[in-house]
Amino acid sequence: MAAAERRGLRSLSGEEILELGGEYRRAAAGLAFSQTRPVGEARRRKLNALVGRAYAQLYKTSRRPGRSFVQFLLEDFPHALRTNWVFVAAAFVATLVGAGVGLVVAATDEQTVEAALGPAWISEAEAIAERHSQPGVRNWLPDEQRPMASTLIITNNLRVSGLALGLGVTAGLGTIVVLFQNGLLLGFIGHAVAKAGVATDFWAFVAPHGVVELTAIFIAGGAGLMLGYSLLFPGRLYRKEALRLAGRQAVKLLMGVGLMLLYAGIVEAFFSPVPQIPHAPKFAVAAAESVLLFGYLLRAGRTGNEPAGRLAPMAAWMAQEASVEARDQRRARNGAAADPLVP
Amino acid sequence: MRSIEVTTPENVPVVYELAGPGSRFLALFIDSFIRTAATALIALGVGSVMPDVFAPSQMAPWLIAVLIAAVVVLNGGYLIYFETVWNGQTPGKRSLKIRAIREQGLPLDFRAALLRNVLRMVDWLPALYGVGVIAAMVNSEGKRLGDMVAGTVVIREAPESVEVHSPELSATVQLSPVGVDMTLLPLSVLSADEWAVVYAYLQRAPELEHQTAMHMSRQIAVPLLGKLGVPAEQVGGRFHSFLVLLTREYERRSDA
Repeated sequence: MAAAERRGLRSLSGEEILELGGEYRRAAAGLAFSQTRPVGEARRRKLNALVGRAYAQLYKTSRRPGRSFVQFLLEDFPHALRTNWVFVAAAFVATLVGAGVGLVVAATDEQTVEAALGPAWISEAEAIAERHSQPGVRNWLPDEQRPMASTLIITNNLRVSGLALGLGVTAGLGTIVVLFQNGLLLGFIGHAVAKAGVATDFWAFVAPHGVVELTAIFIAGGAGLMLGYSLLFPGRLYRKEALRLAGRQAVKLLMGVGLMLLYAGIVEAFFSPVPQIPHAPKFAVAAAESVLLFGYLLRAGRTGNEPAGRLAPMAAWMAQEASVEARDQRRARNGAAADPLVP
Repeated sequence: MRSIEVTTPENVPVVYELAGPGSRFLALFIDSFIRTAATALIALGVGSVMPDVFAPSQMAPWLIAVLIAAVVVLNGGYLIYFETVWNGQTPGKRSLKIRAIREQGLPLDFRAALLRNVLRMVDWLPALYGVGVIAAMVNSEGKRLGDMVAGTVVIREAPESVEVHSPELSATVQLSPVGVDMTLLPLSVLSADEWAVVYAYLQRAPELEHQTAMHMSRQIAVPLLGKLGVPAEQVGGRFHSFLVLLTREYERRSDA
């Protein structure tokens, strides 16, 4: 009954794996035995630890890291996004409402804007306005600040995305607040640049990275709303299970968001603000990005049997998890011949 | 001590003891200390090699950006990285012998590590893990929000090697033949309580003085022999050996 201790389970030969399987089953049998028959507490604990460790190693599903990254990019992320487009759309609407309110408030009541933004913001904005009032100089971001700005932008965007996702656990309210605030700010700024007469200039600066960046923020917000939804409407699941299910979906979106923000942060610092590039190419780049991005998100890895949008979210999530699992199993079967560890 | 139970596909429940808030906070403190120290080291190292790093020059902006990126990656990725490659442990968690695992008893993967650590931002609110502590107190499995969303739980590691005085081991020293054919004994007549006594004795036997062991084994064995229908004289006074062989036979039959 005493099972051999064994460590470092990851790099075993096929033979050793089989041996481990046998020993695991013996230890498990021993543990079951020890739980019903009084063979001593110390022994029961030892077997418990042994079986726990062996179980974790034997039953974990292994992914090959390199391969699964490509698979994630080409299949998992766009698939998860299509399944959950409703939530992303809702996040978009929340931002849009915020922007609308921001525009209206800014147009009617300047004091509120100044109070809302705070003095630091105002002085920064005035400094930028100052730079722009000088003829010929239209540089949104001075050269020497660009590398650092890129890093800071990416960091800040990642933080906001994470927060938008995480605050979903407040039944989605926190996420909506974050999105609304973002929209509000956008509305304020939109009004300010229009008033200063540099609107075209400003939007030419925003567009090349904004397309990707804002989409990413909407997706992160959508992921947060999914968590909120799962708590409010768990359907036939326990809330705990529904939340975990939503979490599995959300993390896929979050990983994609991270990559998108990495790209956007680089463009935002090194392409968008460059004054030598005229407006037309900037808008053209933004348009091209939109086509590519949405083409990718909507088409990549499409298999034709996606239930996206026709099912209630809970059912859609379960269907999505199931289809990913089925796909992995199918591939595992097809690739089994090449894999020496599969008997 | 709170614990969770995971049932393996063999239908065997494995018990994991949950880590308490004290060890979790301490682990986090150690991790924070390491991160801060590493950040300070980077700053000091760069500062000593290039004292004028912040002076305006052609390369400075890039260098500063790379430094900031390094510090951000170090601080943001540290927990996620270690929890992914160290099987749910960070240096802090390892030193306190706790580990994050998935609810099903499986090791943490990258996605779970990412999710539970992104949710840290919310658990931290309003300050010093206010939300997380309340959540963990309310939750029966001691989970903060990140654990709930990621489906993970933090457990106490089982001690590396438990001292087990196995009957087989203690027997090798003094086992002598007894005049009983063990395979013929009707073991089912013995109750669970009686087996408990036998095992409890065998576990303590190595620590007992010889005289005491002789006396106790006799006291335990004689009533059992009576129940099994074997005359006590047949064992020839080697009651300890008889008890060892009895448990071996018991386990052999249970295994079969």
